[in-house]
Amino acid sequence: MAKINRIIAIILLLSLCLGLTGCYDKKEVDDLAYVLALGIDNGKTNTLKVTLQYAVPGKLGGSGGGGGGGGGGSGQASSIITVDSASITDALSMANNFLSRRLDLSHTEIAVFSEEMAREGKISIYMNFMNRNTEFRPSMTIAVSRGSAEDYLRGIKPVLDLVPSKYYELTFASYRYTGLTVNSQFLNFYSQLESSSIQPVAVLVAASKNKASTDGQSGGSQQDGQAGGSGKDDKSGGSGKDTQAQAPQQNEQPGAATNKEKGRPKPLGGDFLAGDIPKTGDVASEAEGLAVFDGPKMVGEVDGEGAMDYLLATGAFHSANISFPDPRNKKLSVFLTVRQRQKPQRRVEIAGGKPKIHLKIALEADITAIQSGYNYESLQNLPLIEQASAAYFDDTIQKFLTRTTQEWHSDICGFGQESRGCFLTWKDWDDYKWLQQYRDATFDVSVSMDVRRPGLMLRSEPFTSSGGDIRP
Amino acid sequence: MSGFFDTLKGWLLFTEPAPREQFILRENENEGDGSLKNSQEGAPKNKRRRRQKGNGNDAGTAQPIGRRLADNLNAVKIRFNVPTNSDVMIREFDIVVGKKAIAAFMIYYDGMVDRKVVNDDILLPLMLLSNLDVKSDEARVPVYIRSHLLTHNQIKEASELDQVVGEINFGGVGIFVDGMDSAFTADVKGFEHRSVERPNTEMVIRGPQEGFTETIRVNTSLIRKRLKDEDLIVEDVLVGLRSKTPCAMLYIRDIVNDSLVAEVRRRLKSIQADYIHDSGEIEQYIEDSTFLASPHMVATERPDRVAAMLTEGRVAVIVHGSPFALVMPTTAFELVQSPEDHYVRVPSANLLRAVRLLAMTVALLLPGLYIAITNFHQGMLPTGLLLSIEAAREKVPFPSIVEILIMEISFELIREAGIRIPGTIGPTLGIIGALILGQAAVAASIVSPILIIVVAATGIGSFAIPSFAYAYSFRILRFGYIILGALAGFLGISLGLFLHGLTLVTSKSFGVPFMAPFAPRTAGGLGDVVFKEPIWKQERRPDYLNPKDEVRQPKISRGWIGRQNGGEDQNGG
Repeated sequence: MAKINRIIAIILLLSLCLGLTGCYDKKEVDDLAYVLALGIDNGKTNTLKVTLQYAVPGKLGGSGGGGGGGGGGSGQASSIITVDSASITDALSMANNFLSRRLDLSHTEIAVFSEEMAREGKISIYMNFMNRNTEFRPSMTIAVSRGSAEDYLRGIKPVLDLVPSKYYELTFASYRYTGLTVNSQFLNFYSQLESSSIQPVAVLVAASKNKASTDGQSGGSQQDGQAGGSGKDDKSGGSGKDTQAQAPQQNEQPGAATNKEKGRPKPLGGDFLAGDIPKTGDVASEAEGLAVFDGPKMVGEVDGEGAMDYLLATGAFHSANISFPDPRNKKLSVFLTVRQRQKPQRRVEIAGGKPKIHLKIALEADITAIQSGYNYESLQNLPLIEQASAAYFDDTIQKFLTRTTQEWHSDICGFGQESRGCFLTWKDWDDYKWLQQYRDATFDVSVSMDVRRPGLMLRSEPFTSSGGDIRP
Repeated sequence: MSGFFDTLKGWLLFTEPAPREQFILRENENEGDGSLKNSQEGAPKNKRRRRQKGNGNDAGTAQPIGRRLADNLNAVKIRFNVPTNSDVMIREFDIVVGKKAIAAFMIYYDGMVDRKVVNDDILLPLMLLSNLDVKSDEARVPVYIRSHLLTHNQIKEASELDQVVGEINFGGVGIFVDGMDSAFTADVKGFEHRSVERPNTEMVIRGPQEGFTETIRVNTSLIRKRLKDEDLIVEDVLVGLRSKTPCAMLYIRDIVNDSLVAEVRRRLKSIQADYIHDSGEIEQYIEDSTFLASPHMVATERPDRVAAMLTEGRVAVIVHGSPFALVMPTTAFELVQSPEDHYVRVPSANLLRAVRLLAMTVALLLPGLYIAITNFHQGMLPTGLLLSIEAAREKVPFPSIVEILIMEISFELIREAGIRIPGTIGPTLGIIGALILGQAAVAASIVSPILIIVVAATGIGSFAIPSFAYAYSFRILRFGYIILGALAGFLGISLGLFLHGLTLVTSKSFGVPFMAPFAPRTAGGLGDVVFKEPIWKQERRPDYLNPKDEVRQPKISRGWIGRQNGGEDQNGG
């Protein structure tokens, strides 16, 4: 009898296990459709227009063996739908009326908001859902699209990657070696949104306007070429207002670059905002620069060079290639690969109720190219380019920081964190209202540069010809 | 019905277990003073008492040997069923001592004895050499025969028939002489046995290459030749009411804890089975818990391993007929060690250990984790991996739990069939296994290719565990983790790990907690538990064994290193 009791009890307990758990929230991998990118625009017929890009792994497995991503294959492994809806959750529910698999947000790599929404300050409304939901990853990238988010997502046809998720991962990590975008993960964005000492930024993305490469788009700026010269002499700190005013226009005009207001004859890689990069090719979307927020409201946009200044000032800079005019021949350039030698030293003091911010940036560089062939590698000449490049950074960073105070009134670099040291109690600091006072801040920027390695060439020698030595 | 509810209640609610007398490995009372007085006085006394008790059990069948040879012959014939039992040999002969001829006979099993030894050392001296001049004035016949005639080196005199029968059953010869109320037994074992070969289940690259055989004396000699120590005790215990299987308990008297020896002896002697064939059976009779998945003692084929464990203060049991010696007590961590760990240098040994830890984790958890992640925690995977898993599963019609059970069960089938399959058609199995189950199953979309990788990694992992008995336990528990993973994902698996851990920390092997020295944390370092310290740093024997002599080597065991730097390497090692 006792034995039968035991057996019954075992059966009962096992069936209880099954019954209680019942695999009730079990979801097979292939019962789900994974949203890779989420685009949110203001809707036409409803509040929102939600664009969902989801993976189609069946295509991936089928053609994976043959490597058959070739024939327009980029669209194969993923698909895009757009739903007009009142909210993101609504959009998911509506989409599941015509998609067989349940949409899962746990692999969403990027959430793109349109610039329009961002400027209206509507992002925060939807951030709440993202923060509360267990599916969203904190490492998701938050981006702001110039123009419609849908266009940006539809423009992405990654040719190198089978699945767009890898495209997003790699593209938004490229700031580590270009310095032209930033790492704006949801985790940081949200905490900066709530913080009273720092304001958020987001990567700026856009659908490309240039379907074919255009020439001479920067021709208009040539007259300023002479005046510009080296970045050191450049005085265009006040041009920020123009940028803001010009931004909508630039959206219309393909290939617009920001080199003109910086006084550069030709645009450099950092002189573009997303969407303006002159290019041809399959990929019709791009990311460069960053969107500046004041609270939930977007207040401005910065080009690639500004993004680099932001990275340098916050210490998130890894490495980048830069060029600046040759100190001996302004028409030619010297190219450096710059790294951060140590985290920037940031100090804030409150002088007469106004913040004064000291920023010391230590950089080191390898020489990538010296177009003039002048022997800058020698120990006597090395300080020439060290000083010139330091001055170049000094100037751009100074101008960038001035823009943050005067144009956007937004402490995106987070000097508020250092400012707390100037107050004895939290209440003092709270009462100071740092984010309001920031607009009056002044900056003392100093950049030091050490050139460490000349690459494979130890010494530049002139080219020889029948006419004697030639230096370009 | 109420009984049923009581059973259920008993399981679900906590009730204090009834107090039960448990074996506790006590610390030695004389610990520290270094004298062995206790052991010298205590242990033999114990031993004597146990022996007497053991004999007392057999007293019912005890039969003394009579003085008349004919009676003895009859008694022996009845005992050995002589006309029926064809391999019992009885040889009658006369011993001529001086002028007197004394009738005698000897009895042995044909095939069990060495005939040459019987002829040369027993028959020849008794029948022929006894005619030589008597140079002794010894008058008593038994003493004379023993001291002058029997030239064999191992002669025992037995006064009871049972002792003689026992010897004969184990390859001895019994010699009965007229007029003597005792009989001689000579150990002339000469049965066929396997010679000492390489151990088949515990191969090492670096280290001794000999393994135990099925013969108990060969095995004990293999150990004794390694431990040239007169304190190594080989204590014989006969187990099995009918089989009287000779077992040997080995321990080093001045290292091992006396209570441990007494406990092993008590358990061995209490076995009331009729036949014992292998050490695997002894293991099941004396282990602490029958249903714990992991084994409670080390079963090893390697004499060097037994020797090393004896020097730590453990007890080994060797069973006649089994090439596997049992060493007890053991802990969960020792089951993962391979003898090779001690022979290779520290960096290599630690790499091996790390690989083995990984193998254990994989063998135990990988299928369960796969199920948990693919069914519940898709967000944990990198997107690329998730999408390739999904792409691979796209055409598979089953839920992943069914899929993995199909593969795991067929893998177990292959493994079992691989052991049973006759050698000549062995390669067929490889074809069936690899082609049919691997390739064809994927091609037919019955399972996904990623799952095959999971199952294969699990299989390889379980083969990398040195103790096959321990690997068995992982094979069993793996299914538990698969089911738990399917029921509740990581929650289920962590619940499983919790319960698994609970059973491990509550179980004991001969009074030693199975998770020692971690739970409970015992004194002394963790020099050779998970990872290995340099051999010269392992100064103390494992504390949980409570050995009499705790110190293995002095603080500075490498004499050539100067004393001034505390025995450390020049480079700080």
